[in-house]
Amino acid sequence: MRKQYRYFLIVVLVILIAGVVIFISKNRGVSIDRYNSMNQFPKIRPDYCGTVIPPNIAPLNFLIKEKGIRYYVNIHSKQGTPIEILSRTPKISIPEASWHELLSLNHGQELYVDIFVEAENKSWNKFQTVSNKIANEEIDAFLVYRKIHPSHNTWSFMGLYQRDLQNFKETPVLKNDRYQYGCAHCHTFCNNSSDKISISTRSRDYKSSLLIVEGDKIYKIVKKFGFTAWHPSGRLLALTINYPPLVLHANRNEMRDIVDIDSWIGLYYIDSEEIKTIPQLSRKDWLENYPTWSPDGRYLYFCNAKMLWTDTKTVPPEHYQESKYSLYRISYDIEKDKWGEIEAILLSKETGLSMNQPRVSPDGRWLTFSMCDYSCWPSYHPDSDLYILDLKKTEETRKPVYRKMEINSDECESWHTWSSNSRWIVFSSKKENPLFNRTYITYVDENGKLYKAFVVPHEDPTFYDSYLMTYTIPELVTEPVKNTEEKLARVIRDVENVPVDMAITGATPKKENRE
Amino acid sequence: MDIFKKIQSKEFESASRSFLFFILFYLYLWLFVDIHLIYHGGGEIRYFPVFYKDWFFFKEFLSYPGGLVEYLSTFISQFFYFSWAGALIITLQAWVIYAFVNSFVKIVNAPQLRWLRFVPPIFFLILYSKYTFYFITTMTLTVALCFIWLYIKFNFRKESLRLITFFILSTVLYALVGGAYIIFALLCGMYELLSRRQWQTSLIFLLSALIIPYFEGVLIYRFSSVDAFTILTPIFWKFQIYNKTDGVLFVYGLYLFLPLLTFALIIWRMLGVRLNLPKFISKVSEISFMKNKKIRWIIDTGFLFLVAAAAVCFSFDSKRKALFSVDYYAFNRMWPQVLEAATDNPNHPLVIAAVNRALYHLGQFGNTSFTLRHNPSTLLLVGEHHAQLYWYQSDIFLDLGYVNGAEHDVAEALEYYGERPQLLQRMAIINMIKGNIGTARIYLGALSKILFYSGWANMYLNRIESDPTLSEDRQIQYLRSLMIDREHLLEYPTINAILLELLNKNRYNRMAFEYLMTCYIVTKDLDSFAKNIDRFKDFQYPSIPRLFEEAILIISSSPSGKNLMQGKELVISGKSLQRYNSFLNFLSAFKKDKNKALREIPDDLRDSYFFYYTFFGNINPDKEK
Repeated sequence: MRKQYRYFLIVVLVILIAGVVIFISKNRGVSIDRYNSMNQFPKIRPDYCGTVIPPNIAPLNFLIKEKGIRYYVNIHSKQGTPIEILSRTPKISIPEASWHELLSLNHGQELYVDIFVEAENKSWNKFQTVSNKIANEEIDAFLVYRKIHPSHNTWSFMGLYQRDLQNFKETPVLKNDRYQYGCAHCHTFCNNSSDKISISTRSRDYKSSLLIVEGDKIYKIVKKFGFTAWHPSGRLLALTINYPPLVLHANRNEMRDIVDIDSWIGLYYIDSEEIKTIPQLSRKDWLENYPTWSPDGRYLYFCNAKMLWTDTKTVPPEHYQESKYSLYRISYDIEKDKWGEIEAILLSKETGLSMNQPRVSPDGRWLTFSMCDYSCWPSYHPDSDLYILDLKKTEETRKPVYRKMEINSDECESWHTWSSNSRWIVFSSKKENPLFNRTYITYVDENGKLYKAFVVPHEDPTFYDSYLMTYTIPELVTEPVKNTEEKLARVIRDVENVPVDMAITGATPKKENRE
Repeated sequence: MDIFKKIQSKEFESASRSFLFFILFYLYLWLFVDIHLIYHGGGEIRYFPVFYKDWFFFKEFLSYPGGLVEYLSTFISQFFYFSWAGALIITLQAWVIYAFVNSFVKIVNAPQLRWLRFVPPIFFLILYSKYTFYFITTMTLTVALCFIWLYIKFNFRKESLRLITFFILSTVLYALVGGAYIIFALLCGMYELLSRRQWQTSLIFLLSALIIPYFEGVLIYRFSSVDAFTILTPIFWKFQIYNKTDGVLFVYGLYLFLPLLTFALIIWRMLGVRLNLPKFISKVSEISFMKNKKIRWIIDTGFLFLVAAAAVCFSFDSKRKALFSVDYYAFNRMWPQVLEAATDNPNHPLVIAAVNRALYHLGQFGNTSFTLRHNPSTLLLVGEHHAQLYWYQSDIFLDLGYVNGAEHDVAEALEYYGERPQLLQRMAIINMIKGNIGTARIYLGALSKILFYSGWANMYLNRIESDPTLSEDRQIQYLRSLMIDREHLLEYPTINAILLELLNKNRYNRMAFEYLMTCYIVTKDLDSFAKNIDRFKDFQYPSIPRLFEEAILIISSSPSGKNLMQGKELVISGKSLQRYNSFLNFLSAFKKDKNKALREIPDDLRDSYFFYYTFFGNINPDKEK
């Protein structure tokens, strides 16, 4: 045989042998014949025990907080091949394909996780089996949120991101370095669809504006808006104009506080490109905030508090810690563009607390909201909790039927969103620490019962232990935002905008400006 | 053989000169500039990048052109933590550019211009003498120059091969360095023209300076066209925001130096002008002793060092160095060094604030010269709100136990300076004091991924694990005992109000007491001073600090003051009484001429409170605010 061929054959053989060795070692079955059964659950982080998980969720990678030299994990359910992982580190990374296969075969079944830890003396310890239930209903595949440092008056880097909940891919929707560190906040979608989006932005260089996306059409209104809510028809947007300065406490653990000194709700009509105010929603001595539509578009829910101060220049205004918002709604006929009378849903004098951030489930059955001791910014109130109100029973009994959600912790729970099938709520919680919001998912059954929440999984299970950004305003959408970051940013940077006739300030408009 | 020897000897002359130059360059940066001061930043350097040992951190850099070199630069710049390593890195970078210029002028057949190879290193000297940080943008330039060198070294004769090489290098380089790619395209284009007179190739290369950034930056990376062309160059908007120093002119100089030089060569050649050394240099070299190699070496080298020394002298910012040093020493609680470093920039309000802190920690606050700190706003730095102030103020507040004030400052500084380890450390401590262990863990977790800080972070993470309340950490426990617990807004009406609130919480807060009393005497509010005199008993002073004694003597000398002082058991030292008498005697000699008295007051009375009280106007701290 010629020399060159001989060398060639040797190289091929070496590659083949190496391949076989790798294949065998990768697929080597793990058999632990003898082990000690521990009478306790393993400590794992994040806490993925006893929850209900969506069948399309990304692998719930976790960290085993038990001392050992090797770790063996067996994930199994009623059907399908169990997933076996043998690891020298306590970080357990579950293979994505096998995970999705197992979950897709076992809708409505229990998912079991057996954890074995090999001690220094080479003996294996088996902990009690961890189980989670796989729900029948999927969660909307994409979650859009804002990431920002827990900042005070100054901000630099922040951005809106979308996370594919089926895997670990996170992509930016709009980072503020595209428009010289402006602010992006309060993004809303129409009917959990990324086809219609509104994003409020602030910028020293390009002015504050409301960015509106309708499919491929993107434009902006150069005015400073706060919260927005799409009418389900996509034909109009309810929006707030606020003056919410930051107040800092010298003694409180969460030193930040926000007081909305003056606010009102307006309407932006997409087709006619005009902003209108409604007398009922822009009363001089009331603070209207947090608009949200019922899924049939017949009611606009909102929060409302009596303005306890006449001086709107002093920050904070007097009695601001007594300001409590109540829940109201107002009927609306879009065809006739006609508004009804304001109805109280739940009053702060009944609860003693301030209500904020109402959201109606897409099936129209539930109204969720947060309550804290005062004012309108629950995210800075450790006592803020999420509540659920049964709209059907409330309608029937003419009395508010509501309760505190089971998923609350001692720390703050606030921003939340419903999935399009009304079976999942994603919300912000500071349960692990009082400063950084993390995003949690909880299952809601048809009776409105909520199950133990779990943090949105990350590829690295220790990711949240050192991540210095806080997650706010989670919004579930069924498809990803398709417009590129640069396309959105270009509109913000562009001088072109939709002219709006009326002068909008933080203050409630005077009578002559109203409809 | 002779020719070989001659070349060898010439090369040796040049190499030895360069060697000596770079040795001194290195020593200057290491020992004199003290590069670690730039790492620390002094609250002046806004854009010193943080580097996390983390895959997710790396992934962020893949999303934009230039990200890879920025990642590399971010990593390398962490070694500025050690002055010797930082100086070595900068020296190597300067040497690479020097070596490139050296070989480039030879390749384009202009060896007469070899002396220009020292220009970029001198620019580096100026940049670092000014205590500026442009490492990332100079690094992208360095990488671009390395790619030009690669292109030249490939030296393919076939035009098609040269084109292919150029476009492969271009594609890779743009992804690596972003906007600095334009320098590569320009220089390669001009090189083609100079060395091969290939107009067409040259034109294609020059055009690619527009095409490649547009194609890769705008169409692939989806950046705006302005960002695609400028990213990571000195005109990139982020650097314009972060680095507003006059040093940027020298970064422009570094970027433009070679393109301008090459362009000038092309013009000269087109005009048919022969490139000679200036006449006076030729004449000088004809002088007999200049023919002696050793003397010529000494003169040439001396001239080079003279130019470099002049550049350093004119650019060295001693005041900035003092500010950086004071901040560094104060951060590391090296109080005697703070006082020493402060002497080079004594009137800067941030330096005065650090000196006050140092004096307090050295137990000298009420004893030492008053002249440095005659402005009450420098005590707590409650002036205009700007980021640099937050950087310094947070430590004063933390020492005082005004923890939320410190937290606010650090939160603001974090937004302005980015996730700097010094700030993360402060945030971790603040949250540990407040008992927010979950939050502290996150800051410590982030710190544990930063080079040189992981030891400190892991130590605290372990401590939290074994003692979650940190009940055995005396410093944390002490600061907890000082924290305000009464409902109050952060924006206090006056400085005194903050200090009084702190004393109301813990009457043994010595720092709050000394700062409060100083505030009173600086503002000449001696009534309030007198009202708080009883608080001296709360502290174990061996004797009342001198300046406070002097204030007491002034109070006691007036009839209303005597009333205020009635019943107060205070022992005034004989020395202070003696000084007071000397001061009164001195004043009586100049009864009618206050200005003359001011001029002629003896030095030993100049730092007394008597002097300040008599000759300085009233200062209202709230007006200062």
